[in-house]
Amino acid sequence: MRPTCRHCVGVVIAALAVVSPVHSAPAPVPEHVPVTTPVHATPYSPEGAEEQGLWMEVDETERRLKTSPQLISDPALNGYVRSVLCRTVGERQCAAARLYILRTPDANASMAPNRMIQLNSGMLLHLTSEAQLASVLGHEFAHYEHRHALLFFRESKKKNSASLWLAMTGIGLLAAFGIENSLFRYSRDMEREADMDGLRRMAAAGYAQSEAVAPWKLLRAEWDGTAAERKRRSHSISDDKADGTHPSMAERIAYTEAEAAKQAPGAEIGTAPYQAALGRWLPGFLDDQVKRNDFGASDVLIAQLAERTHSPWLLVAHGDLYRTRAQPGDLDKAAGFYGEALAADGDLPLARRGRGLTLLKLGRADEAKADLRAYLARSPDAPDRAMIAMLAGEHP
Amino acid sequence: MKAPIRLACATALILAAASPALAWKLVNQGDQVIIGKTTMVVTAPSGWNRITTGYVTGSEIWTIDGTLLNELYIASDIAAGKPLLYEFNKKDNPLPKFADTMQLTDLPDLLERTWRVGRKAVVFKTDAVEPAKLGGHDAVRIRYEYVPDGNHLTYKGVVTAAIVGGQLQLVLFEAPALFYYDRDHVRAEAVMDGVTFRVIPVAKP
Repeated sequence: MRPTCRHCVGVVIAALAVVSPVHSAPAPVPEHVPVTTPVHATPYSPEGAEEQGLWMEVDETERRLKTSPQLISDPALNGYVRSVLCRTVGERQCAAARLYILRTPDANASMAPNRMIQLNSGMLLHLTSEAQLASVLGHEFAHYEHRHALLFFRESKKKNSASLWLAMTGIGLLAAFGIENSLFRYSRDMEREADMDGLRRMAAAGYAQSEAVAPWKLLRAEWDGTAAERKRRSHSISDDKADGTHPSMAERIAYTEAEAAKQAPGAEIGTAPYQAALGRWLPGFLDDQVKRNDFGASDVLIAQLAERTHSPWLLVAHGDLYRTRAQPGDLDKAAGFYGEALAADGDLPLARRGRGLTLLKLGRADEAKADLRAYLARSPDAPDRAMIAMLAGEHP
Repeated sequence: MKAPIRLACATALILAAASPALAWKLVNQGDQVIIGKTTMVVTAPSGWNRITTGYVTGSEIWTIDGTLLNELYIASDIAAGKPLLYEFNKKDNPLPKFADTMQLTDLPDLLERTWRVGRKAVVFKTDAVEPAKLGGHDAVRIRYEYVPDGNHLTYKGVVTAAIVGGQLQLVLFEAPALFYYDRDHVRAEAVMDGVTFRVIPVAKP
């Protein structure tokens, strides 16, 4: 959702080829004067050497993406995301966009100047409704349509040239900081514009704008969760300074909620269709998250997702999270989560496996072996069959 | 001599003086190698190249053609609270740590979580987890594959790990799935099978 390096102009320039992340929100709600003019020509062709060069670069990135082992080519998932994109930005505009869903747990999305949209599996995991997906896609499409990457490239080229000349004087270094700040300010303006444009698209498509803030609130809560677990200062505090490429989450939440309050009630949220579409991918995406070694963030994420959706896979993931941390009290909690998952769906082999391994550590060998045998019976091709069979006292 | 050349020569001399630990050495078939002054002893079943500075204390890296093509990572006596790899970013991206309460069934998960952080592994797949022996101790052999984030190359690996005296012992081989893994993993597994543990004499007070 946010670039890794926030203070490195060079990286930002390079990153612009793959525009920027999605939305996120301090208190005063700014007046949104249009910063740039969108392009409406379809199909749009790049104009001038700079834009053509930028397209050429991202075309090369796209060429590599097509054969990436991380690419999720599931037609059902791709078809669903595309249908939401088309509903949000319009059939005519959406036809020219090319969508790539990538398996990586970072919650991020981007749209390049050449109409290539990248959506990470981590972002899909952080969303709970179709309206939230529409807000992400609408925001990214606004970056494309307003040609933000090109405009930022031109702005940074202009300012970096001035910076280089100033660097030859005594005050050059001080001036460089000022130039960097002004570039980030420019980037923040474009993000605000994409946020507002995305919100307008959501409303036009009949989606509830209030949903757009949920992923930002979740990410802030995750930062706080990580900080609490690692006994460190939360990223939320530095984010509130809003001195990077994006406005602070707090600001984005504030102006989005102000805009959403104007929308008439009854707009579509679409939790059920979104959950159905995510369906078979959810266990894998959850596993990717649990194994990121960020207990605090994963704990918050899974708990908040469970408040809005009720998949037993969330309980299995929560069990796995506590079982693998294994601090005092964690194993009892893990056994509880697995038990709830099995109460909701008695046929989940991985819940049996998790509970079996947990009970084994808790010294409840007979119950553990029963669960492990049930896991083996339900998973004839399990990769750990030989090991689990040994624990369960069975021949593999 | 110009200043930059003098600086380069001085750096080279300093590096050369400090090099015994950094230099690659040949391991011949039948050589007995004590891994990083630890309890693990490897009797080489075939020739390898060896460097004694591994990713953590008490570890070594062996290779045939270069670590990007085939890497044998041997780490011994990893104590509780220590990671499997060097931690580049302890504050923001810490690696999971080995705990002496772990059982063999916890090790595949420890490996995967370590690789997801330390080697930016995505699309990680565990192909097999089997009981095994390492130096006569109960062990687990894990076969896995993964793609580093943003990379087009799939890596395959096999590791035999045991917990001996509350400390983690592992011998791990990893290579690109394309050609190198299939060619070399049997040779690496022979190294795993040639591990023994020694008793380190305790110094008299």
